[in-house]
Amino acid sequence: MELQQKLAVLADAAKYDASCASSGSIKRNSKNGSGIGSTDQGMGICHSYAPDGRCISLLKILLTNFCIYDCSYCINRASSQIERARFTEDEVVNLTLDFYKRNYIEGLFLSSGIIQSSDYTMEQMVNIARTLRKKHDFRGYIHLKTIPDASPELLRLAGLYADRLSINIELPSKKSLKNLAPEKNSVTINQSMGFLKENINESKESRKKHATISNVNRTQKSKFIYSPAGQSTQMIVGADSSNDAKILTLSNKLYNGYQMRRVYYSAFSPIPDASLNLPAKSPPLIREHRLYQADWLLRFYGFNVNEITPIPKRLAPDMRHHNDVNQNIATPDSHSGNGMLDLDIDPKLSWAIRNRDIFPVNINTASLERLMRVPGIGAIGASKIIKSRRIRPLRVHDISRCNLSLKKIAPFIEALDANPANKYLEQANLKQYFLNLQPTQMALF
Amino acid sequence: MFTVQIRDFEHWRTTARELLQRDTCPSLIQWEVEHQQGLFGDMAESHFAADVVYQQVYVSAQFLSLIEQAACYRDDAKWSVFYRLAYRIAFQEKELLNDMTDPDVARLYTMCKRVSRDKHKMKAFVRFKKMGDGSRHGENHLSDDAAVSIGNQCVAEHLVPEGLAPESLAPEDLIIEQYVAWFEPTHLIVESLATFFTQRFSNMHFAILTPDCCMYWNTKEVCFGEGVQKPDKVHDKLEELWCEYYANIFNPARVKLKAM
Repeated sequence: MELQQKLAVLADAAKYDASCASSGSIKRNSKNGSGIGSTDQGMGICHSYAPDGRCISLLKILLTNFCIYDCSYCINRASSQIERARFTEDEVVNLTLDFYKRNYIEGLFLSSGIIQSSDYTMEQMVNIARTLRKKHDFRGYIHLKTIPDASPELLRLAGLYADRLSINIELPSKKSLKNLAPEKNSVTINQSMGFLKENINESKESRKKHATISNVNRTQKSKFIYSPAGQSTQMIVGADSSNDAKILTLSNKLYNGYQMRRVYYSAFSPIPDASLNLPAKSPPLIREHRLYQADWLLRFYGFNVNEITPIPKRLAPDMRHHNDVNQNIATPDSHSGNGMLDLDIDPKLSWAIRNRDIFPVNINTASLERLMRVPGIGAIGASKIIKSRRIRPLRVHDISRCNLSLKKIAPFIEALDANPANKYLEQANLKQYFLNLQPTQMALF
Repeated sequence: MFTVQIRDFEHWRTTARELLQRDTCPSLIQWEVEHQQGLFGDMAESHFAADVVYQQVYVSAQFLSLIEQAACYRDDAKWSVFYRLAYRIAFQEKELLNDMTDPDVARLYTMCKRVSRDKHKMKAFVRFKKMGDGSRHGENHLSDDAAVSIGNQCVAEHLVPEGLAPESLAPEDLIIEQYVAWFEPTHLIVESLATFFTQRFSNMHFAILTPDCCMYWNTKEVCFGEGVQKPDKVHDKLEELWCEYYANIFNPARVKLKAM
C-alpha cells in the first residue's frame, strides 16, 4: 500500500481521539542539538483547525488499525469490516520529521490497535519514540497512547521518550466497560495509571532537586525525565447510560487519585458498521461541551461535583422506576435531580441561578474566590477587578472596561452606584433572561 | 507643540527619557516615525537644550516590557500613548498600570494582546516549503522560476553558512536542504520571533519572507533583510501528504457550521 493511502487510513482511524494538546511540557529547544524541535511549558500551538473546529496540533495517527480486541464502540475492533493498514517504524518517524520541518505540527501523537500482544505493540511504539529522540535528536512533542496491559518495563521506557502518556479509561463505569470492551480490564487500567503516576512524581521530584542543588552536585546524578507533561485519559460520553454526575465524580477521582492533567470527554459518534448495542444518533456535542465547562469548574474554580450536579432528591418508588426506564433519554430540561447538566446554559450560570440567594456579590469587597463564582467572571477577569478596585471603588460600568460582559454579569453584582439589573434576580424566569442574551448561538450546533 | 522623529523602540526610549528628564508635558509633543534622515525641528532642538529637571526618572520594569511588546503594534499613534503613560507613571500615578479602567492603560493592554496574538499566529501558521530536492553548495538552485520571483537572490547566500568552501567538503555533505516560508504578519513582529524560530529549527537552513522584513538562518547566525513582494507558489510534494492527513483527521459527524 502507498504511504499516502496508509496515511489516509490511519489518520481516519485516529480521528476519534479527542486530545491533540501539545501543552504543559518542559521548556526545551534544539539550540545545542543536532536535530530540530522545541517545546514550551505553557500553551501549545494549534497549527491548523479542522472543519469541526478542533485544533490540529499533532500528527495524530495509529501505528496500525489491525486489532485483536473487539470493543463495540471502536471503529477498529476485530469484527469491523474496515480497510486495514500498518505503518513501518521508519514511515512514522519520517512523516513526523517532514511535517515538523514544514511547521505543520508540534509533534506526534501515536496510538495503535493491538497486534499480536500488548507488549509487542507497545514495544513498536516505544521504538518509534526512541528513534525520533535518539537517532534524530527530535525535541518536539511526543504523546504516546499507552497500551494498558503492557509490561511495566515498557511503560517505564515509554515515559523516557514521551512528553505525555495516556491510558483511556474509556467508559464511566466498570459495568459498561465489561459490556462494551470485554477484553479491557478496569483493574489493569487503574494499575497502569498508578504506575505512570509514580514515575511522573519521581521525575518531578528529581527535576525539583536538580533545580535547587548546587552545580557541583548536579553532575553526580542526571535528571530523571519521565513524561514531563504528565498523563491524561479519555472517556466516551453517550455510549452508555451514565449520567453527568457519575462522569464528573469519576473525573474528580482521576484528577485527585492519579493527578491526571486532563480528562478528555469524547462524545460518542456513530461509527460505520456499528455494533447493535450502541445508540445510532449524532454525537452529543453540547453535552460534551458542558462537561468540559463543568470539568473546569472542578479544577480551577473550587466547585465540587454536588454543587454542579446536585444530588437527586429521593424519589418516590414509582417515580424511581420511571426514572430508570428513561435513563437513556437525557433531555435538556431534565437537569434538576437526574444528575444531568443543563444543556441550555453553562454549569456556572446554572449553579448561580439555583443559588441566587447568595447574590448580588459586591465587586468592591468580595474575595477572589467569591468573584470567580459570578457567572461571566473568570480567573483573569476577577484579578483585573481586584487590581482596579485598589485604585478606586468600581462602578457597574467599569466591568465592561475590564473586558467583561456586563449584560451577563450585571444581575449578579453590586458596585458603588445603583444597579438596576439586580431586579432580574427576583424574577422567576431568570434563566430566560440569559437565554435571550444568546438567541441564535445554540441553533448552530 | 513640536515634532519628534524616531526610528525604532530603542530610539524612542532614549528620546523619551531625555524628554521626561526635562519634565516635558505629553501634550506638547508630536511623535513621528522618521522616514528620512531629518533631525528634530527647531523647536525640538531647543527643547532638548533645556535644563534637566530630574536626573533619574523611574518607571517599572513591567511597564518597559509591556511597551516593548506593544512597540510591534502597527500604528504610529502608539508612541504618544507610551509617552503619556510613562509621564503619568513617572510623575503622577505610580500604580497606573493596575487601573484597567483607564483608557490609556486599556489601550496598552489591547495593543499587547493583539501583538501577542499575532506572534502566536505566526508561530502557528508559517509554512516552510522545501526548495528543490536539496541543493549543492555553490549552485544557486534558487535561480529557477520560483526563486527569481522571490526577488531576492541573496536567499541562497544567506542560507549557506559562511566559510564553507565547497572543496573542503565531501560531496554528500554539500547537499543542504533549504526551506522558505512566506508570511504576512499583521504587526511588526518578525525580529521578535527570531529566537523562537531559530531555536526550534536550529539545524535547518531557512528563510522567512515577509513584506516588512525577512529573516534568514543558516544554522549558525540569523540575519534580517528588507521586506520582499509575495513570491509565486513553490511546490513541495509533502503538501499532498499533509492534505491527505488533514482530510482524514477530522470527524464529519462533529462538523460545526460555525467553525467553517
